[in-house]
Amino acid sequence: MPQKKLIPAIVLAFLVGLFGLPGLVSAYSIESVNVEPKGDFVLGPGKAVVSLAPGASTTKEVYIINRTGKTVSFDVAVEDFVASDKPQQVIKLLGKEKSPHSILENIKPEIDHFTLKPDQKIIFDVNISIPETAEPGGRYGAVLVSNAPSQAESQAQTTVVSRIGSLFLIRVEGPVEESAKLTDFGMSGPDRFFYDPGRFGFEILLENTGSVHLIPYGEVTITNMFGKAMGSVPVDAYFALPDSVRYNKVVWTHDGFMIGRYTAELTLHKGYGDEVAEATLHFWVIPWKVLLAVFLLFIILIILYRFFTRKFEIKRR
Amino acid sequence: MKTITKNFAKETVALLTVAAVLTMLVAGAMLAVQPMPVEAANPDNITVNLTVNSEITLNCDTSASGGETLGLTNDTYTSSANCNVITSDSGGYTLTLANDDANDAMQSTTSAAFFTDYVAGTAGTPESWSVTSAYEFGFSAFGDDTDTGTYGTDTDCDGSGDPAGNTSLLYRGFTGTTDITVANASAPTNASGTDTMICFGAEQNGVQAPSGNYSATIVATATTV
Repeated sequence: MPQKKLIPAIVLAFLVGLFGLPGLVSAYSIESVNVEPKGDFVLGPGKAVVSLAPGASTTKEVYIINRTGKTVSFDVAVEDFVASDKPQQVIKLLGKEKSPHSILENIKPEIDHFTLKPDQKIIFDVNISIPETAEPGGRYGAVLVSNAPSQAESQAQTTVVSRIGSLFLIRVEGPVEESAKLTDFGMSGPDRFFYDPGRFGFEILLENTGSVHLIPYGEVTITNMFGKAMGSVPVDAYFALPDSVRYNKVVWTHDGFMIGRYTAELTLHKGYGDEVAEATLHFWVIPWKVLLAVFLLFIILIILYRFFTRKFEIKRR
Repeated sequence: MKTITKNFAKETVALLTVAAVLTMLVAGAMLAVQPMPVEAANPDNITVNLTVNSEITLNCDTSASGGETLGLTNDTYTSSANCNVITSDSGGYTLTLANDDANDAMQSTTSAAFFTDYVAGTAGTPESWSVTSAYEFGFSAFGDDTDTGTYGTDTDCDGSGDPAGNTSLLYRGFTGTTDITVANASAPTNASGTDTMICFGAEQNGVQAPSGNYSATIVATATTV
């Protein structure tokens, strides 16, 4: 090629390589968003539930919004999680350890490090692929995004690094065991003979005895002693990991007047087939503060009645 | 005198009995006339759909504030860092703490010295601060979503510079990189989120920690559940 044409060609190739190729290779995008600085960063979605056949693959997006008000560098990592042995704590991240339902070889975030200026949002892919030979069942892990403290901050005596995780619950399709049992349905807090009107917490314990996660959901309906429905509170869909007991709590508030015996009925779809678990509990509501005030009022009225009655009797005599 | 006392007691019992009976009559009337919910007849439904994204944020102080200098005239240290979590996820969230590596958390930046992670009487069970013949570093926490049965509670971490001064807080040590739950909820937070105050404590008791600068890097992790 003549030298005169060679140099422009080299320059053109360089420019294409610098600006064109990265756009062709990477799918992540960074855009400006209109957010109020809050000193934090937002991650979404909080969790993703995926079902894939062996040999299949898919991509899910995760996004981060920088609301710190300053430029921040972030690292991306993946960790397995398992069910915590304390039902109220739900999950336990495993750090570098692999779990029996490891996700480490199945998901790969597109990037492992990025920088965001204030009010910027990044959307990046998390690639999920299941080998042909994968056993059916669940795989559980989290994509964790952490901020790197500045050099000045890392000189402090105690530095705190923030991490937020997007949970991934993957189901490898195929024959699996799905089973669960409702182990408890009760009022939250210590046992009481009666409750004050207003706010009532109901606790649900579901034991997943199968080999794959379940997504139960349902409703708690409250009726009074005459059988009339007072209200209901939904049990929003949540996940229960295999070989674990999942705790959930729902709160029902009622502003109106309440007194007497009430019944709460739980209808919980277990998350597989048409399996439904039902449970019932009864609780008494006594507005004791109101009744105490009435009692004291009657005492005062009786005392006053007696006082004036005796005064008039004495006068008559 | 006896007769007067006896009459007074009789009258009081009678008074309370009458008042109690009347109160129970009122309670029965309340029961009978309490408002009953009424269903709308033949409602006409209009369906409106809306989506709320499951999102979560975490805002922790990047460095703990406070913190006394130890030496020959001071043996104790307290500091604090606040973490705020906001989530829209219907399942709520979990907030955990962990050391950033497998060694004891508080390491000298200039030598091989370190403060031992606080040793509780029962491993992993927070307790009232107590260090004997060692120099140790530990933490506690309090907030609306922190279990008071596990960590106790307080309104600040100061303790006048002594973790033992926070008599209502229960402390524990880090366990390498194992995540330790300090707060959790099973419902979305409100728009301003939920604060969890992390209280750090250190003490040299009966032994002198070598001089130098020490630092710990703690990883706070928030996930939806």
